[in-house]
Amino acid sequence: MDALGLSILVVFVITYALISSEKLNRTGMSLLGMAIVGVIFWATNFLNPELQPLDFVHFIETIEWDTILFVTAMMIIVAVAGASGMFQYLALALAKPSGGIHKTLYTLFLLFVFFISLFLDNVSTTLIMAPLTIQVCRALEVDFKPFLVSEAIVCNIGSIPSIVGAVPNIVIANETNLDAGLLFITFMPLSFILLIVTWLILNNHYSSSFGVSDANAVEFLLDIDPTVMIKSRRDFYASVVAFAFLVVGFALGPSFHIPPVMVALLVASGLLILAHDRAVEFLAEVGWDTVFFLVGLFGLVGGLNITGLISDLGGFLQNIIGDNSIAAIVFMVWVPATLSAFLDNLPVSAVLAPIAVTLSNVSTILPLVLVFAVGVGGNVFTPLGSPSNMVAIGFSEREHDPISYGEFAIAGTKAGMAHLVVGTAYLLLAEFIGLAIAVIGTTILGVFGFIFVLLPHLRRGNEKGLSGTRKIRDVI
Amino acid sequence: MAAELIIIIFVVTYIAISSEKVNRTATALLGMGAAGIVLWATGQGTFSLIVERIEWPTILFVTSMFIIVTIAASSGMFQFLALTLTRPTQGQTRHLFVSLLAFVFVISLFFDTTSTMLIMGPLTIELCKALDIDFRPFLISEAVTCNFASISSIVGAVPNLLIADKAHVDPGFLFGALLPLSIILFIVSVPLFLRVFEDQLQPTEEDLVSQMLLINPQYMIRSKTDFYLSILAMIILVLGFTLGPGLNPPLQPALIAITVASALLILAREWVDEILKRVNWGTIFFLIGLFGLIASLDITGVIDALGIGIGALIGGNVTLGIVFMTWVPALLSAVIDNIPVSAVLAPIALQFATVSPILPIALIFAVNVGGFILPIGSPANILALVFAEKERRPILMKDFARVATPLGLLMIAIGTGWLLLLGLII
Repeated sequence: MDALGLSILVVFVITYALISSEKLNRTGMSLLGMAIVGVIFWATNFLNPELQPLDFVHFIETIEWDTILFVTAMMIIVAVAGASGMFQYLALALAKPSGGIHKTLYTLFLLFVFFISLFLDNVSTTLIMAPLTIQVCRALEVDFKPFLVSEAIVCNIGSIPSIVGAVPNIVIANETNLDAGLLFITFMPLSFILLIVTWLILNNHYSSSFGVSDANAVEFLLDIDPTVMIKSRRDFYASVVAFAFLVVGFALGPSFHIPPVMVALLVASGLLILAHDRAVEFLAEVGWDTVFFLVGLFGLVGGLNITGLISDLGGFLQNIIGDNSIAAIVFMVWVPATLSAFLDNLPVSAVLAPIAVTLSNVSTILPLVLVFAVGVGGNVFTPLGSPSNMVAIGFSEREHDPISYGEFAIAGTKAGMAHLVVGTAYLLLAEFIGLAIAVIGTTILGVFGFIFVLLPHLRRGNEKGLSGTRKIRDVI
Repeated sequence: MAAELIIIIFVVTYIAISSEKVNRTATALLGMGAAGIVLWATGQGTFSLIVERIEWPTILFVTSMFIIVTIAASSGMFQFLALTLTRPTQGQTRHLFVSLLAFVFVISLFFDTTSTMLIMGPLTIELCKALDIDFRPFLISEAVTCNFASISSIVGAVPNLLIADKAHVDPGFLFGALLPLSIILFIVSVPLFLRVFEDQLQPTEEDLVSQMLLINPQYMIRSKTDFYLSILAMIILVLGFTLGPGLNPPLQPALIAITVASALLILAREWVDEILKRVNWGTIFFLIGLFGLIASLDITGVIDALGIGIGALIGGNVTLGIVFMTWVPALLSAVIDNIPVSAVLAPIALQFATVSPILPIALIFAVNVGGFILPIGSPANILALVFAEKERRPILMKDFARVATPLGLLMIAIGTGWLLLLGLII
């Protein structure tokens, strides 16, 4: 490693450390880190003019603007839908069956997140769920942080089986010519098992913060007709149509080579045109600090990329794996997962996808393994691994009740480690016993898991909740 | 096929934006999305290609400047400057008008036109409100002045940077050749402005003036730390913009701006979200949509075809070349944003630099002056309109054009004469 690479790495590490310390503003810090990388590039050229020029303009172009634009467009859509009252409507409709029992509410929300993250990108899922969750939790006077953290974690695993579930999936699928059907069949049972595992772990982790809400709050919540939450009928219908468009576009788009960013941008600009005079208000609602935090982060990773550090890593990996298929699978799970714990999982996928292709003579399921690893890896060690985690943290900060990085990391690592272990076992099973058997086995396990672990909570919650409120009514 | 469709989308989007019936930002973004669909349907390229071709450094530069100016504005720095500036005018409207324009002229040399407007717009509005006069003539004249005043400085406008970079223009030569011209243009424009706006530039009532003079500029400072920080930031920016491009390799303004902006954001700590909210995202996303549209014109080869056409027309004739390099880019940048126009024409200018070194300079002159022939030609004009809109006293596009269009054409005529004269000497 030369002096340039080393200094970029030092800037990268210091910036990450400072961001994780939460002493300085996150957005400012990541942008400053990026600017310092730019200055280092400039200084290198200044000192050695004969070197290949490292232009700032070129450096900026390595930022994944597609993703930035996508996140922004989705945030615009969510801002419009939020103002229409659509989320409040959904939130009430979702919260009603829980009868105010926090555990039931929690289970309902996680199942919902799991379901929608199949169709929507992680960031979009979090953008939709976070405001909704916060509102319900506020109404029930329960701490929303466990909900937000768990939702962020679940949306990362829920998107594994779907090609449109996360941007890294799209990147890997493009690069490795992955079959969308195969991806779904391979991972759908596994990710459902992971959901149950997550539920067990996090439920235990957060058990102290769950209870039953004050009867008055519940009563209040149950008495509201969800439709009164709709603030503007026109906006509400526009948002419903917009989301229908998004889901269809995201689900069908990739097979026609329509990138999600184009779908999102069209929908967002359409909504803004309908909003007319209020367009500026909606733009101000976008979480710009999160957007620019991502710009800085992508810039930092782009800097590492330019100096060749990331591709060096790829080459290094290739040497170690050799042609041992067990080693290849274990490596393809743990290394990308660990990397995407610290780096954003998108650049990690972009770098490792070609390696998965070159190693596919060792084992054909390696591209699948990579999709799994970057999805789960977003959760472990630091929340920095996946933009959706940062969005969740961003929302909690807006409510002046921030989720700390440490708090997120503990829950994320606990769940994520379990995911990685279960996933590795599953993938090794699929490689050596056969994919079909592994799929059938996990499907059966998943059905039993649902019946014995999740279902009781949904049902019992319902009965208890209703009888609870009834009792209170009787007393009154 | 794709090229024709993109041109149609481009024209329709521009007409829709100019009609002011629809939201500007949304329309530009929708145009970009529609261009993406055309490229996808005709197999000419992917949407990612459009996104990649957008001039992100410029977007980042504009955003950083917005952030810096927002922080400086909330520190009370501009209010301080505004009061200090207007004291010697004793509230006399016409004096105030001329001294503000002179101030704009000077700072345009150091700041990009957008930044100049970002600094001057809020300041002017505050001043005019205090004196109870119509701020619209001020904003229009300032937008015009900041466009033509920046022609002699390499950092005065983003197009200058682009052209100088691609066509290897010497900053010293540019300054020497065009500073006299810009002074001439200033001397010509001020009396014209004063005549056109005669009705609106009425003297202010005595008591308002005396009230104003009673205020000590120092009282306007809201936060001492922010105040000194923003002054320091401005000094670094001016130094960086003036000296940066001369270094080898050049220090890009975008890099300087983002460094200063991020440092200020870190120091601002808690209210980063507040500051970012106040940034003018509508304008930034308008630019993104615009750049996206231009990028798709570029991808389908429309812009290349244009360049080749111009090249064939000019041939090797210097006089014809100068006339062409002033009028065509000027008229183009009246309709299209002048940054993409420069990006397209700069390579052509380089090609003809062998014919005469004046040609790249003619291009710089043309895109700057052309930027205000129509209000949508330069981001600075759009900013002026936005500021007025925010105050609920909008400047209509046709009001802007009524003043700026004839003036712009006159200036191009004067400039053509000057450049032809230079061509004879060199």
